[in-house]
Amino acid sequence: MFVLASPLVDWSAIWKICLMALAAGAGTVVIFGFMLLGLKFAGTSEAHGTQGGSRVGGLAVAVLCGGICIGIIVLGIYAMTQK
Amino acid sequence: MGSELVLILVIAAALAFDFTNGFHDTANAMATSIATGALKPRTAVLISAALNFIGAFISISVAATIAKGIVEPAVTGGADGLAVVEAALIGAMTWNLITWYFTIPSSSSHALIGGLIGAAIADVGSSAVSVHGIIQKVVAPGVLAILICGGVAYLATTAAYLLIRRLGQEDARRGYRYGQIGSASLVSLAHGTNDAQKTMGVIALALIATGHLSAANFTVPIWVKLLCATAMALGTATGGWRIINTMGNRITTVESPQGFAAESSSAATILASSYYGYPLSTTQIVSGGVMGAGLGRRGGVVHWPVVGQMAIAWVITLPSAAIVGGLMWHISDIFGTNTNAGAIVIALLAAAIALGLWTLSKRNRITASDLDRTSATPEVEAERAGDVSPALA
Repeated sequence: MFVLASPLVDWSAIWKICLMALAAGAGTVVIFGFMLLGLKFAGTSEAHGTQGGSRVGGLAVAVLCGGICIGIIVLGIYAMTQK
Repeated sequence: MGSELVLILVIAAALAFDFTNGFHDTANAMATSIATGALKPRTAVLISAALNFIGAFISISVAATIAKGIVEPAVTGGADGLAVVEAALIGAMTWNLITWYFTIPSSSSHALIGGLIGAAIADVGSSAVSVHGIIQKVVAPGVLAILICGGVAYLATTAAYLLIRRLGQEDARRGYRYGQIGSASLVSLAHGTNDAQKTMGVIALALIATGHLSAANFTVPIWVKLLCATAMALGTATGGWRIINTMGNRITTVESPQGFAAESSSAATILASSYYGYPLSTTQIVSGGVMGAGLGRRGGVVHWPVVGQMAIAWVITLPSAAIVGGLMWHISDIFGTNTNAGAIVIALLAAAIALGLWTLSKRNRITASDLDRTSATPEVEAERAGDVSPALA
């Protein structure tokens, strides 16, 4: 069955698409979630008057994850221009 | 003058199809953002329209691939070819309007391919069509699009709700709403790049067939790009509320983390498939994404009867558009393929069908205000969902 279907479906492209969609699609959602968690952690630390480290740590995670999300969007737009 | 008039009618039909493609496919990008209240319906479609317009200019790769591999190129060439292309466009546009009337998200690209197949078979017989090409470019990608994006969205949603347990309901709802705006915008941009080019390609082929453009030195003139981008943006801006309602509310009840997961997975799948040169249908990708996101939330429900209706529409899109395309070619042929009369008659027929369906749709109108959820409270949203997600509770 696989042999018959092979000429009709470019399996090597499909696997690459699956991997890239999983990495960029699910990856973005997870990283964005960590960004929200970082922001919440920073906000909670500030509200509770926790000193320095935990607030900065939360903000650092948020900035890093936000940066990765923006990077993925830029990569997506780059991919559009390369078609 | 004869072929000039037919050429103008072909361009008009292409732009009309592009317009229907715009309002038919707005739902792909914006339905979940509207359903979760991330954006007001009017704002969403205006953003989508602007990004569709910009997207049409991003890539200048050969736009005529839709006419290659399935229908023999010779069929769409020459003066007779114009009649085939016009009948095909009218078949596709008519099917788009029928599925819009019945509120079913179906693939505009498959409708266009179906129209081309029907008109080509009517003109020269079944030898004009490659069955292998149909399976390779339509059937297999259709099934794979749903499975790939559905799987990715399922995993993304599951992961998102694991994180939400630590975030809390309001933070998650608000945060993911912002994320949705970004992911939906990316889908709009990708849609503009993909779909506006298909119409540009059809117009370019018509220009080549009439000697206005050189086949050896293939480029899409700037005025063609501008017209196609504008037609699609105008179509998008009118808002296909009927299909937005199906995609955003009837398949499953979408919360903002699910909407973000569905749109991110869709954008990633669309861009990955385009990058690797394996075109998948945007409508089927996004539909798969919404279903996957629906199943990924614990307690989430996918309304399978609605999915069943959509699946039937997907299966019959190609043959139905082919039948309409073929029928239009035969009607045109009654008046003689080398006369203007046939081309004018089927153009008028298409306008009458469009007017008739638009009039019928007013009986059960769905408007932007029916879909506006930006002011809904969390309690109202929970009631709408019919259940409170364990993670958000």
